[in-house]
Amino acid sequence: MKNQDDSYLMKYLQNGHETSFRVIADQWYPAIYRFAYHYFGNRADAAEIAQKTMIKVHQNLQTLENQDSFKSWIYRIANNLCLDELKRAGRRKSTPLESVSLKNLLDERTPSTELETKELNGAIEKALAELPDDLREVVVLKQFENLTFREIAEILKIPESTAKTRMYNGLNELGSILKRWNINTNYLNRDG
Amino acid sequence: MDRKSKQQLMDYLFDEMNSDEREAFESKLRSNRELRERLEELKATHSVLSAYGKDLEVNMPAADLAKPFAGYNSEEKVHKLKYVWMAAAAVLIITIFTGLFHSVQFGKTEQGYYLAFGQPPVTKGIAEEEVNEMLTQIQAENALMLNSMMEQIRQEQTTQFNESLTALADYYEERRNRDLMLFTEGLLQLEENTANQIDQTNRALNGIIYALSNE
Repeated sequence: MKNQDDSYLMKYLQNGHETSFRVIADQWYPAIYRFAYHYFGNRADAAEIAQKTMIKVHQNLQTLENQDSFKSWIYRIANNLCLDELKRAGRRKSTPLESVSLKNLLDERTPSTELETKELNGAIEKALAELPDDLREVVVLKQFENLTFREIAEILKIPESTAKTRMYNGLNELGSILKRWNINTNYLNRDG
Repeated sequence: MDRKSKQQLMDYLFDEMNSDEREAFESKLRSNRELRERLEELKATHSVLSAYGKDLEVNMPAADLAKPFAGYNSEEKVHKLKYVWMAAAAVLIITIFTGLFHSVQFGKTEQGYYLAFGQPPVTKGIAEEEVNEMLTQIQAENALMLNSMMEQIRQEQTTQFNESLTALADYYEERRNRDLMLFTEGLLQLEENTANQIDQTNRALNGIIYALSNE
């Protein structure tokens, strides 16, 4: 249904109804912000990417021929901007785990406090940053944005089977990294 | 682990299998311990990641976002419009009160309506003779101006025509001279050629005569 709404809104927008953009921005800014946040792990970059994405969408809205593929299109724009930002900033990922405070988290299996959740989030951010770009983009789109493999394949212009293999490798690698850092990946399963 | 099993694990973990595929894969899982263990590991990592960023709050930078797009923020527009109306109303109220205290005058003249503080504007009429005189003067000035313009245009045209004629005459004169020169040169050349040919013919005839006489 959301896809259909987006395609209608895009049609309106392409026909000069600027107010439609407000609705699109309201709907998509948070999603793109979250996507970029998972990519970079910080709010400033996430906000910048989300805003740039909205501006690019507005600038290039006439180039979108098939309005039904709006979702893939906007994620592709955001993903390309993230990759550009990575190249521009020349980030290298291997941040030592010592910089992440995990002292209570590692052994005690009670991640109930807010502090511990923050620490876990910090560790996951670092682990994600360790992944190669091609694996991270698939992990972020699948794990955090809940897109289907078909949608991911469309966004990244890769075969669906490649998206699945990359997701497998990404999860596998993340699991290894977390284990290397002595983060017990089973403790959250207690609730489930 | 083979590529197909990896892809199946992903489909299973993220619930992207139909019922038949799921059933077949679960049967495969029951018979394959390694596959089962891999699935458990992946599930564990997936669970840890699922907790990440759930409480992420997104602040919509509505004002910043609106800047690049004209007419994007309609609420802001309404707000601004409200201020304009309030300012207009304030000006009107001040005018009314000032008018009450300063004997505001409102009326009509031949030129239209007036609104004034204190004495109304004095309207001064113009006599018919004066109007006629002004008209005559304007007509005379216009006629003079028109004549002057016409004269100027005529002179410009004449000058241009003369210049064109002179240029044309020069061109034809030059061309005639060139043709004459070419014609003369042609005649001289023809004359010279003819003389040469006669000379050659004479020599040939002399040769023949000499040869015949020797025989």
